[in-house]
Amino acid sequence: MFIDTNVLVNSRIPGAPHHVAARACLERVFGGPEPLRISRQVIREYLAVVTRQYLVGKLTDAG
Amino acid sequence: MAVDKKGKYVDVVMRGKYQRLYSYLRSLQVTEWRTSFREVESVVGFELPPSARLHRPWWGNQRSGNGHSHAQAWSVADWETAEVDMESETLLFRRTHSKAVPRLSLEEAWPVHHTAVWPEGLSLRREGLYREGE
Repeated sequence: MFIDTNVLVNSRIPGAPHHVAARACLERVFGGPEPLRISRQVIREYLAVVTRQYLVGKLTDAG
Repeated sequence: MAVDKKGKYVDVVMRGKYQRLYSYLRSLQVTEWRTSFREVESVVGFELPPSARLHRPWWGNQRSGNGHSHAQAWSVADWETAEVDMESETLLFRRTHSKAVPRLSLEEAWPVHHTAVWPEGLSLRREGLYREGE
C-alpha cells in the first residue's frame, strides 16, 4: 500500500485537519500483511513541508 | 550454532568486513528481503569481490558461525540466502527464526508529535507543497 505525503504529515501532528483519520488509516494497515511503501517524491514532499522556513520552531521537531 | 558461541561469533562479525550487512539485517523489521547484489554493495559500502558475481556458492549458507566472513555476517544475524539469481544479480534474504522478528508499534515507528502546532492556513495541496509560505 502506498502512503502519500498528506497521510505522513497529518498522522504526526495532532492539530492537523485530518490527523484522526490519517492516524486511523495507518493504525489499520501498519503491521499488516501488506507492505507499506513510500517514494522518494513523498520523502521530498514531507521534508518540504516540515522544514519550511515559516514552520521552523513549530514543526521542526516532527522530524 | 551453540548459544554460548553466538556471542563470540557476533564479536567476530562486528569486527569484520561485513559488519554493516550484519547490522542492517538485524535492523530489518521483515522476515524476507528481496534485494540485488548492487543493493548489498550499497549496504556494505564497497564492491563485492568478483566471486560474488561469478560463483553461486559465494552466496551459500553455512551451518556454524565459522566460515566465510560474508556468510557469517548473515548467518549470525539469523538470516539465510535463497533464490540467488546470478544472471539478474538478485537474491532473497530470509530470516531463519521468523518468530524472533522484533515488531514495532505504530507509535514507536511513527510517533505522534504532541508538541507540534499546526500552523493556521497550512495547506497540503500538492501544488503548494514546495511554495515557501507566509
